[in-house]
Amino acid sequence: MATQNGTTWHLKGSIIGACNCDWGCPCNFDAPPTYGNCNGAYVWQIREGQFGDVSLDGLCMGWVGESPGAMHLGHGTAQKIIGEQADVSQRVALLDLLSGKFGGPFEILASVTETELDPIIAPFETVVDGLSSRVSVPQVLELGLVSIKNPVTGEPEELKLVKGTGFTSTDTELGSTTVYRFTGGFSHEHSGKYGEFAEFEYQGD
Amino acid sequence: MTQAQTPYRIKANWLETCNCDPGCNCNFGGFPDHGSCEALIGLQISDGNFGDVDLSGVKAVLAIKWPKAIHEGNGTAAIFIDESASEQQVQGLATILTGQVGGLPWEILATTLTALDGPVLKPIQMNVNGTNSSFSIDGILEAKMMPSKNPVTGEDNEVHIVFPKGGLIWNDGSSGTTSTMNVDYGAVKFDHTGMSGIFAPVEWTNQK
Repeated sequence: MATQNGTTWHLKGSIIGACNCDWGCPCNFDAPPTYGNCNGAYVWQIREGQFGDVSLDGLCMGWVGESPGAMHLGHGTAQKIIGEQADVSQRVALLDLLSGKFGGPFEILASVTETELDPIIAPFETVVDGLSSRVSVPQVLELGLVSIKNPVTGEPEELKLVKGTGFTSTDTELGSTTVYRFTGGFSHEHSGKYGEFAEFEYQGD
Repeated sequence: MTQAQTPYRIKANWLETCNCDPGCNCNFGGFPDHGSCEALIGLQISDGNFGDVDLSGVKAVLAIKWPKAIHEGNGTAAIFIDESASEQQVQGLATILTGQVGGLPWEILATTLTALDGPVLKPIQMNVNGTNSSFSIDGILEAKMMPSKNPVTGEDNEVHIVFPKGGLIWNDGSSGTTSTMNVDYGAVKFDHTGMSGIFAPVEWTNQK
């Protein structure tokens, strides 16, 4: 799959994620989602990126999905968000990547998606700063990260998930959200639940 | 009355099985995802001493239940130590595990227990092998860990929960599940097969 159309690509940057699970997200440990279903979002802030001849440096994109059970059980509904600062060829490249036809983690996200809503093209405002990161797509998505707190001392807890086989990231800072609200083709309001931050690097040829 | 605290240092393998879903929610904010905390823990000391007493090779098992989160207290525990340990080793390890000479995590964990049975000397079988570790005491308890699996491909996942600045008990735990996990010992009786299993190296001391 990764070699379809023979387009060489790579992406490097930061990924910011949130979902409706409790802190830690049991899905990371092959356990069912805390509340049975999965509602979540990933935002990729691309620092360096290339898709064929098209530079993707500095662009931002998001994927918001929901599924009735664990994500890998499928029947998901998903909607993509493309940062409007991308020009036409860049938008096409980002949508091609997110389609899953060129491999990477996007292939897995596409494989669990049954219903794909039309993508949203909108401006991203992002602050990339570990578990203090924040993403705003006005009228569409608000996502702010924060450290979880030790229940006894109240101190911020530094926590990582190191998972070599992780598909969106392999070395991830685990936290919570100050806000996670999506108001696109469907709606999520899961502020205070699971949040994560990681550096990522993907490629395909 | 002030008692001089015997210095100790321990390096050990910690085999943690409990009733939480794999990953154990208590790592992420302190509250178990099924309300109570019920755990069987195997401990194999690879290197250590309590004062002049060498603790290397000593094996122990803890069977504990707390009605709510650990930090909310009221725990009931049984401490088992392998019967091959000498009297001094049993005394030393029991003193450490009951928090009497300070040092993390036991000076905190001991305060969460209201009932304690032991140390009970029993033959302990223990096989230390990451998230494939197991331990048992005939007629009383058995725990077998197994690795986390990719739910789609069925391949083993190596999943680490890491506290970069140090956790209360351990700093780097390999998260898996269990194929067997049960105990029947007086007030401590449960079966939580298929729930969380975590393997971690630990280092504890009451010295700086």
